[in-house]
Amino acid sequence: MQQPPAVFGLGNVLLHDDAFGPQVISELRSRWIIADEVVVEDIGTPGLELSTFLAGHERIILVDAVAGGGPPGTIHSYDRDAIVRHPTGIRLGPHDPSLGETLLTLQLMDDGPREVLLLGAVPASTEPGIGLCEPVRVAASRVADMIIEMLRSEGCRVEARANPVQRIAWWETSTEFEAFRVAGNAVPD
Amino acid sequence: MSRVVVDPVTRIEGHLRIDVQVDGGQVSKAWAASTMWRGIERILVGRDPRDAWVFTQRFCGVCTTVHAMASVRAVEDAIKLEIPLNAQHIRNMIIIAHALHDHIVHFYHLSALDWVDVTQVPNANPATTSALAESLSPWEGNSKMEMKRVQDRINNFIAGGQLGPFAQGYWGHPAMKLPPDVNLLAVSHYLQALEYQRYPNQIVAMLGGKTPHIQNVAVGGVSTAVNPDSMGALNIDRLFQMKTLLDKVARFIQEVYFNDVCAVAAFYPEWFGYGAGVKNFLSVPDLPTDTTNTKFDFPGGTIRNADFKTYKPITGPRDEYFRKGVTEDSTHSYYKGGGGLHPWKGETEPEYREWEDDGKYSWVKAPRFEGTPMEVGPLANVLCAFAAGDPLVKKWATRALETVGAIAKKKVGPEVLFSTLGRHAARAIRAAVLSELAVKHWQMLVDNITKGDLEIYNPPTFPSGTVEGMGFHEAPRGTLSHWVVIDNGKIKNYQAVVPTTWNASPRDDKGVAGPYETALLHNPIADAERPLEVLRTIHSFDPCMACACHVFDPNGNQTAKVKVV
Repeated sequence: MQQPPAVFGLGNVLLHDDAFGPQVISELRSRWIIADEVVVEDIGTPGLELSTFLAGHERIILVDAVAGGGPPGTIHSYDRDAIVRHPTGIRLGPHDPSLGETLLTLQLMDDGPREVLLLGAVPASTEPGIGLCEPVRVAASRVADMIIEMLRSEGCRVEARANPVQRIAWWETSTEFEAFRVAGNAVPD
Repeated sequence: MSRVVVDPVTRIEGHLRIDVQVDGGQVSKAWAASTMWRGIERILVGRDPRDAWVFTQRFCGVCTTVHAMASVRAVEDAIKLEIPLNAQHIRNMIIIAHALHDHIVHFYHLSALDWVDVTQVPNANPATTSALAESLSPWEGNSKMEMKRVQDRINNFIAGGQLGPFAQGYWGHPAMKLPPDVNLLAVSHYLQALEYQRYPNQIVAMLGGKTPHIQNVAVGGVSTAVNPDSMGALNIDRLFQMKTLLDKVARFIQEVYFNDVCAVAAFYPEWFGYGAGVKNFLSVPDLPTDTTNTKFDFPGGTIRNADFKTYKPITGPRDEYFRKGVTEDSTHSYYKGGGGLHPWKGETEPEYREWEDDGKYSWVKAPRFEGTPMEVGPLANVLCAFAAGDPLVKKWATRALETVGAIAKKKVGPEVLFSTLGRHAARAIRAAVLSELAVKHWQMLVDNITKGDLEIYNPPTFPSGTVEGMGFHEAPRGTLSHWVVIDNGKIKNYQAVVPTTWNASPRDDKGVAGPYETALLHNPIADAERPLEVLRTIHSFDPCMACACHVFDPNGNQTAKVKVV
């Protein structure tokens, strides 16, 4: 069996719907127990460190807000070729090696994923503020379901939690997190 | 006459805007502006001073540890609290590791491509490239095979119709002058640096719990449990893991980074003549070796008018020369008020309006030292330590000048350091010095722990009434100081005077321009549509920025634009 893909959420939780990636990771953690060998991580806004996270993985699933077409919450998917097809902007400054640039740099180092799936949702707002709009929240649940389906179809061990508490995103309210813990769930790390 | 606006200078966030007026192919006037308000000082008012460092770290998503250090030092200073020796050593290790990470990344990933033309790589000869590199150092990553491998990969990208991660840049710009071999060498090391920059960052995470935004400092010390025999504490095993990482990164800095900066500099001698700036330099002593912040391993002070003879030391955080010298002026900043205020009396009341060339145009205040704009950063740090006669700085500075001289085949003296390229050279010198001090401070920590001292924390107590404190730190980007006024155990006023505020300072009440603005004057501009020369000088300062919104744009739209108006 080939290695299962690693799942990474990208996004800034302080900028409304840019928290889509972290929200999907939060859903995955709160609704399922996923086998330890699958890396599932909210990597936030790693900047240059993105390459550190992606190095060493043959296959990855990334979740991020995307400037694609359609109304907020529209889900788009892209493969590696689509991500690297467009050149990145002029290198005026540093800390934003784009996803495409990172993948290509890793390729130049003979490292990094050959198989990439980016699952993205169109945001309504990426202005400063906490919380996702409803369509993006719904999209996060759907994308989490899609990822679970993919992992299962590859034979990964995924178990639904007995007491799932949804929307326990850590950056939103501590009370929901508390409810999740009190309900008898192990606290996700 | 034309006007060039580079906004944002930093790629996705755009917190720094540079305007230059170009006359006859060179910059005749420049403005540096920050386009965003920080505001964290206001959030801190009324809070518990023990929590301040957690908030101030969030000034930035990149240079985070520095604001934790300066903040706890400021509060400790206000209540005259000593910290245990282990805490001092652990903080020093984090400080050094963070600086090594910053300096490597700054050179290779944030500014090397201002000087290195990737499109020249196919024209290089891997054999002569390797010979050049091997004449400079014994680094094993310089073989002909390695150079050939990198060249082949770049050729493959080009054959596929694109340049991979380097798809866009100012390639073929008339100001790009490196021979093909040096371009290949730099690109090879750019890729190796991606690996080596991780190691110091791992040290920061091992000690700090995580990075960015370490979790292990406290007012009174650190929360890193120390016990040579415990699995759950900083033990001998982990200390030796750290040593392995330190040794690797020290070799990379001394054998690769240091020589690359010298090699690039040797091929751009004209850039030793541009970008001098205000020629007044400020740095503070750091890496304290005692519990009361009176002895330091890296000296600091001031130099005026680019004259080493004017060097005046700053002996420590209690030195009135520094404590009384700093003011911030908001005549040209989007804040109420005008003339210089001491940070303890500082105000942060916003007053935004549209850009005015001769009025308010920046969210950054204008810090002044005894009324004068000062450049801060590795150049200031190295110049002051050189003037102070620090043996390690003298050793590496001399080696840098000799290496540049050998490649350029002419003698160069320390006067070349007052320039755009001098900032890069100084950063490499500082990195080499710190890479030696890293091992020294690691040994001091190990010696103290194995001697049986496991103390890490002295609990703070806050007096009734008002106390004032100042904490400074020589951060990778330069002198950082946090100033706090505590009233009955609560924060009454908090001001952070950060390195980029010194360097990106707007004009002051007397109309005197800041370091960026002055350094840009007389820079050549070969092509106003592609103002590479502006970026060279600004990037040489290592400008800072805050955290980012990450939205993937499948159409590859540029988020940063160079406007020529």
